[in-house]
Amino acid sequence: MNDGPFDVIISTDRTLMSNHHGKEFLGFMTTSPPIAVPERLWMAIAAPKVNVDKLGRPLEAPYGLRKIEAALVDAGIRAAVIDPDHLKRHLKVAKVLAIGHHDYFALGPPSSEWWVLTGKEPVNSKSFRNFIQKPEIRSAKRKGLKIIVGGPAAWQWLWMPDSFEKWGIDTIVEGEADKLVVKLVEDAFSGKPLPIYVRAGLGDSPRLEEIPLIRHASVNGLVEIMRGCPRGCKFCSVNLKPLRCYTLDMIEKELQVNASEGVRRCLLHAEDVLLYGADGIKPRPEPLMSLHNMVKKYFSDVCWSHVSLSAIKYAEESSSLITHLSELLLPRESDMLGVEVGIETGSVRLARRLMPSKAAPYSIESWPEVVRDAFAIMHEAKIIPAATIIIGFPEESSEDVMRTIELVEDLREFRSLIVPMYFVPLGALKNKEWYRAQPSEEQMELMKVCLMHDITWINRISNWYLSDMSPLAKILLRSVIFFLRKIAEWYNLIEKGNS
Amino acid sequence: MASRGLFIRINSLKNGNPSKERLDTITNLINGYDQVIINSDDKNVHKMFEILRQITFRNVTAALSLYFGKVTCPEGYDSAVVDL
Repeated sequence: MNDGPFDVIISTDRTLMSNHHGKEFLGFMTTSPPIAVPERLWMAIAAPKVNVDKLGRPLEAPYGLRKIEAALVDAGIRAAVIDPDHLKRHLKVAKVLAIGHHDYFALGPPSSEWWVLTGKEPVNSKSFRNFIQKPEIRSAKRKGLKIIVGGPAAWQWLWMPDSFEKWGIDTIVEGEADKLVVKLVEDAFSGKPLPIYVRAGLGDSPRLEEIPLIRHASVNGLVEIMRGCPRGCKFCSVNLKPLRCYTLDMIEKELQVNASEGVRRCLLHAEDVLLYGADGIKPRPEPLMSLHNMVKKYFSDVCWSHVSLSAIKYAEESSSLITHLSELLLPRESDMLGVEVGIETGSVRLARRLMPSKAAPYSIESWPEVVRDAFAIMHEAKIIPAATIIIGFPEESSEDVMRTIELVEDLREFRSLIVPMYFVPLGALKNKEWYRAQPSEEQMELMKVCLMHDITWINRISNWYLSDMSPLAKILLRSVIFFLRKIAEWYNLIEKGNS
Repeated sequence: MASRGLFIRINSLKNGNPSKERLDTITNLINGYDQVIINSDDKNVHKMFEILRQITFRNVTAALSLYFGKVTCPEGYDSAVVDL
């Protein structure tokens, strides 16, 4: 391992430079303002500091930052991911600071939703502001440091020109940066002018063999198995990326990196894990069983980032694949697996307009049935979906919201969490009072129905999810859950004692 | 197939929002290319970011770069001058 000095420092603020106690889902707490506990305690629960080596390099770092690090090091550039608390000595010599983030300004869901509902700024944007204003970054900037910002939330800078200028950002990179970042850094080194903004086109997306493989451990053992998504939903930018499936060999190399650096779990990441090696949008048993058998050689604790509900239904109905995967991944009675899924809407009308391929290979007209069937399959297979619903699409009518309420009520018997994401139209951001835009009566009702669903299940799910956490963390988290239940009871959202 | 490049020089950046016609013009120009470099001598970040937002909302798939001066049309690129 190169022990420096480093010409390029890659970093981000604490809300992302954390392993969230090994619980990826706790990371979502950073999208909210603190609830019931002081901010410092909230951050300690949601985003504790990571262990670092003697140079301040985190032992686990966000996967996206690890990819950028790998791309630069592969190109012969001295680069390293550095923890935000250890930047000072490195920025005295570095020429470039590369920053990635999921939600720089808390404008994306669910941060914007929390902001709307509470009127309080979420901790992620506050944490980023504290990061970018660090004296060591300001001092290095005055001495000529180039600052490049990217990641999934890069688009937010286009809405924040004042912050862009105030903090001396040199370049915004939007889209896949694996290839672009090398050229930008080389241009910075040679004194060539940097673009203010770069957006990757299709030609900038690396071909499969050009995708760099991480050189050091990722947070919670996250390993990418695919890029892109074939479903083409209108509200999602992922479908703009070409679809690429990693080879088993590529995946195994990254698993080995994580295992050799002491990570004890694996999170397989794709927009739809079940489409790994698929026949179009139809999951195939062979590649998925091969993948999971290989992963189990390295890790007993395996989970998925995202799956689609239609793939769950098709995989089980065509080949009992979900049952087989559950038997492989969850051998003990107490084992469970959490995964994010997208319901988005219960309205067939809206689904047809915004996500016409979401139900494929089933017809979009059967979307509510696909959702119900997939939830039933996952319940049996001990897979716990954390499902998103999007509220407030510009095309949404009261009738659409009512259909979604009906669907959520139908799902009450299935072990799951349902999270409404409040869609904040970006046009509203021009208005500085945008966060005061309040949901409609029906939208509030839907949020209540989701809250009732979650409160029904949260104790049972948290018993499993928190089982291997420290007693202190368990007490803190149970206190937050208890407080939320009391709020719900106070507002008559649930009956007293409902569990 | 070789990728096609376009170099756009923003000739003048007027006050107020760019009209739909002008945005349509620049979007149609961009859509014929794989790589587009936009160069504006006027370093108005607010204005240029607003234009970029408008362009990127229109499902432009070309690779886009924005510079504030200092760059010239690369060899092999077509060039255009637009008012916004």
